[in-house]
Amino acid sequence: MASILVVDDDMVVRELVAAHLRARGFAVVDAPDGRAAQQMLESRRIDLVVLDLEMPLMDGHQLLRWLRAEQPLVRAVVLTGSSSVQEALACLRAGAFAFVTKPLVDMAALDRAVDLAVQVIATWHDQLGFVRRRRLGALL
Amino acid sequence: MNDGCPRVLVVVGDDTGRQGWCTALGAAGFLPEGVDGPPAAILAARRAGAPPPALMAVEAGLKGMGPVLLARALRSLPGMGGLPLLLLGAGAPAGLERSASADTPAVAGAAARGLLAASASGVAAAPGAQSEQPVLDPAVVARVRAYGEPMFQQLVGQYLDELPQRLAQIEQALGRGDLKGGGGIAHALKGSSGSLGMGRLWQACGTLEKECREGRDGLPALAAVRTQAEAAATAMRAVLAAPPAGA
Repeated sequence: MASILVVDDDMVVRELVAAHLRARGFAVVDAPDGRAAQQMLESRRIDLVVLDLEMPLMDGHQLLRWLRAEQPLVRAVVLTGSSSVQEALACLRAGAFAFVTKPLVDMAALDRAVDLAVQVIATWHDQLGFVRRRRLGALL
Repeated sequence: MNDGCPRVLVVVGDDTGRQGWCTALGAAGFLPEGVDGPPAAILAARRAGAPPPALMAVEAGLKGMGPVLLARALRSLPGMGGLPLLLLGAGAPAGLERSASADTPAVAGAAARGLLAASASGVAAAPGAQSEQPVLDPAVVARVRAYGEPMFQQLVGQYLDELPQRLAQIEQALGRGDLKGGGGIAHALKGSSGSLGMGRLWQACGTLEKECREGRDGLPALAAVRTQAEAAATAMRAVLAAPPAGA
């Protein structure tokens, strides 16, 4: 099961999203800002980050750039109250996998984004495993 | 009319939905090209003489290949390695055509809201009139409560405790002319209020945030936020006092 990091400075949103994803069976940790998220990403395996854009210390745009440079295998779903196409495009160009807008009246949009991201992550891990097995086979 | 605008491939199976998204994205400043499925999308992307697409907007529930595989196929084409993918909600973005001629920013916002929206009705509801939003949406409250009563009580209790302080902080920021600070707190309050089902307060906070962003006096909008906060808090306290369904 994929491990997910929820990053939002708003405690209500952070707790709700984390509780929802836990209820769906994911392993979930959370962080209140980009800086704390960075530390978590450096210290444990995270497959997917669900992040807000407007945060103190290190905002979502900075975290996306850092992820792309330092942890390119980690997927990111942006969850934000900013609802403009230009903002969505900027995030996608910065490497976000999906852009979901608040409020989370229901969780269907977030679920769809997370499920697609997890599907991509699983495919990627399968491919990595296949390549490793082939290399191991060649060595043996 | 949209010559020189970035080209976007709109891949939606349903005719009405495709037309709606093309209208919405056209109004948001793109040059949309609607196609009904993956084969047509690949042909359109490779069409000689046409500028390469700047974006692919794909229906999240696209049948057959699915949006992820289609994105991968398009990105494997020469010069399209970083082509961004927008996932569109199901159905047509109802109501957008009406707003398209009158209010382009509203269309842009609504289109973004529908990028991964669950349904067409969700897209239409987002920019709707204040009266359409509930003071407190019982369905949202029930969903949040289902995560566990102790968590619900703690989360909502803390939200209600902090609410007067957040409103005071907005007022102080506006009083000293700090529109960015006031707008930022309104933005944060918007997120948590909306996620707890306080639809009218969410909308009032959005209006205040917009006023601040556009450099206008936010005090009238703050008055509306206070009114809606009062109503939402009263409704939420009544919910807190009542036992959960089935208890």
